[in-house]
Amino acid sequence: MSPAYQYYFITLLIFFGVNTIACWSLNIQYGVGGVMNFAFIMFQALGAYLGGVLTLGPSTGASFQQYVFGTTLPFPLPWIVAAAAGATLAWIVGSFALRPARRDFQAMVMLVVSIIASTVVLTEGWLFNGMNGIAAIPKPFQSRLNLGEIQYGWFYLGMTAVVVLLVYLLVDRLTGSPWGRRLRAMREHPDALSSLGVNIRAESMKVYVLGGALASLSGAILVQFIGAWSPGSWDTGETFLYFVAVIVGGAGNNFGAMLGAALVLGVFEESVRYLPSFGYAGVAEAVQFMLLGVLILAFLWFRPSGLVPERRRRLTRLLPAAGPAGGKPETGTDRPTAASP
Amino acid sequence: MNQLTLAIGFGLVTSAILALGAVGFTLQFGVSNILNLAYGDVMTVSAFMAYLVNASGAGIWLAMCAGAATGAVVSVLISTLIFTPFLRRGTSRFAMVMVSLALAVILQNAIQAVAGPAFRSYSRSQGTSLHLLGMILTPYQLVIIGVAAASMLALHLLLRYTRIGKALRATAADAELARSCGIATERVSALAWAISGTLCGLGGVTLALNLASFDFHFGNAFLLVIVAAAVFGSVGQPYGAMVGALVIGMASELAAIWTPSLKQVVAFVILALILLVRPAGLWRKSFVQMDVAAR
Repeated sequence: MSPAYQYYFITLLIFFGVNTIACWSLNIQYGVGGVMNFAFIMFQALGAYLGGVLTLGPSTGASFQQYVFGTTLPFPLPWIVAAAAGATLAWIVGSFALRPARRDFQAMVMLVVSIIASTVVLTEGWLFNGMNGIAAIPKPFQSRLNLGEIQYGWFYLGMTAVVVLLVYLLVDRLTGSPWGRRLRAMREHPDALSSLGVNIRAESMKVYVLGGALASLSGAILVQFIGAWSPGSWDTGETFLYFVAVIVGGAGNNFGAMLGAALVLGVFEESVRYLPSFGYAGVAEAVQFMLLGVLILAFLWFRPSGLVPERRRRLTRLLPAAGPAGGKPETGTDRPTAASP
Repeated sequence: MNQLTLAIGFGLVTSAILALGAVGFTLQFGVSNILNLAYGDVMTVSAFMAYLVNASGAGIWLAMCAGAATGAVVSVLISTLIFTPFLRRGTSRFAMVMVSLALAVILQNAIQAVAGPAFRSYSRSQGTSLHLLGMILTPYQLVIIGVAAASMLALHLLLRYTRIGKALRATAADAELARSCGIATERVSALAWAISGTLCGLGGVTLALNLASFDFHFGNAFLLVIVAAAVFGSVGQPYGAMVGALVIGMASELAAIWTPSLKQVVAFVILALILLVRPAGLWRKSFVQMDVAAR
């Protein structure tokens, strides 16, 4: 493989890893918990921004870069701080956006938050350097390791893979846990769960905060690899892309979300690169987004549960074999509960 | 010139446009229970249709009528061709939001692909500005206020005093029950989409007229202010949306005295505050419970 292709391949894999974390974040919020986070991209952008400025060092105003929060933290800290900041932002946004009872209202409020945030970032240049964003973000360990571009790429891919694995262990454990079951029950029958004494808003907040942290983490990993951040590429429209990925892959299923990340954010996005360009600049992108819209409509019509549907969970082993007033013991039958989809 | 009275003048105009948009948006929700995120893009489509009519030589008022009609037609089409089939198929409320978002993305990008990224503006004669109690308004802005006031009044009379209005309210309250009482709820619902689409189209054209220039994105950008006004006045309640439009329109123009970029932030802060204090919005009494004054 020629070096250029090798680098392209590495980049694709790192993007895939980042997108997978992002899709798992959205999946646990939307697919499992039913919280429609229409401000998703804001969390990723925040993580990316922090991942950048926390390694860049204090803003000196030189080379047209002006930003806030600039420091130089040793390697794992920018990622951790970014994740913590994502969680904090989710807590702040959730404190009012999760207050309406209906999920679609919440989604609308989050959409408003997301649009306002991107407007503020674009217009208030003194905060985050406006349109220009930040650039020349140093990559972790690069100066110390003294590796070539491609070797470093492999190294970074390895680090990404470790995080992906850790995040997988976390989300897989959580979705299978009693809390995950509670989230699914909340998604299906919020009123019923509420009548059982579960605080819906608090549970929504928990999953919102968790997802916010993961989304920010994915942004930080991405930005330290590509080395630049600009608000233009973190527009509100990107949230739609992630929703398409999760729904096409299979909402509620971690493997499905990963597949969606590969197919929609990987194959579909990259394939446009190889199409001959036509019209004026922007037409190809507009057509691509239209196709995405049609794709999601088709999936919602023909296959709403996605390519890899959520696993139907059976909880027989947790149910008592025979209740005192339940008559004959029903051994061997799989009884779906309210928590199963 | 006093900046405050000036801002109040602009606030009235913004409120008028916002009222057209927000009442249409909230009415769609009230009757169909769907949050239509493609609403802003239907506004854009209407404004572009009005632009086409205007560019072919017709006057701006005829163009405004064309825009309103376009809004109505597109809304009814969206409802009957997309939303209703999806609902019949048993698509969850969750997924309906995604359906409307997908529609919004398709519409917006279709406009972009066809019309290009250029900014447009209507051709019209520049009338002399009117000085009124310290406010300076162009004749167009006065007409915008007039159109909005007339539309709100017409909607109120329709809802309050006519059988159609009664049927609309019954459908909004409980479609099943209304159907079993012999109300043709599908026709009523189509009518509601047509009415709200007309308001949407009017909102689009008046917004474009007031902004002086517009592009493929402007309706969608305005949607967030519409959402803020609708949520402020309890989503689904037309009278609440009118109040929300007035409050948010005024507040954003008054805030613009300090910094123009504060406009949207103020809308957002009001939205966040009302959600913290009253998650269900300001308006308590549902419009469906309104007394029936008609015989």
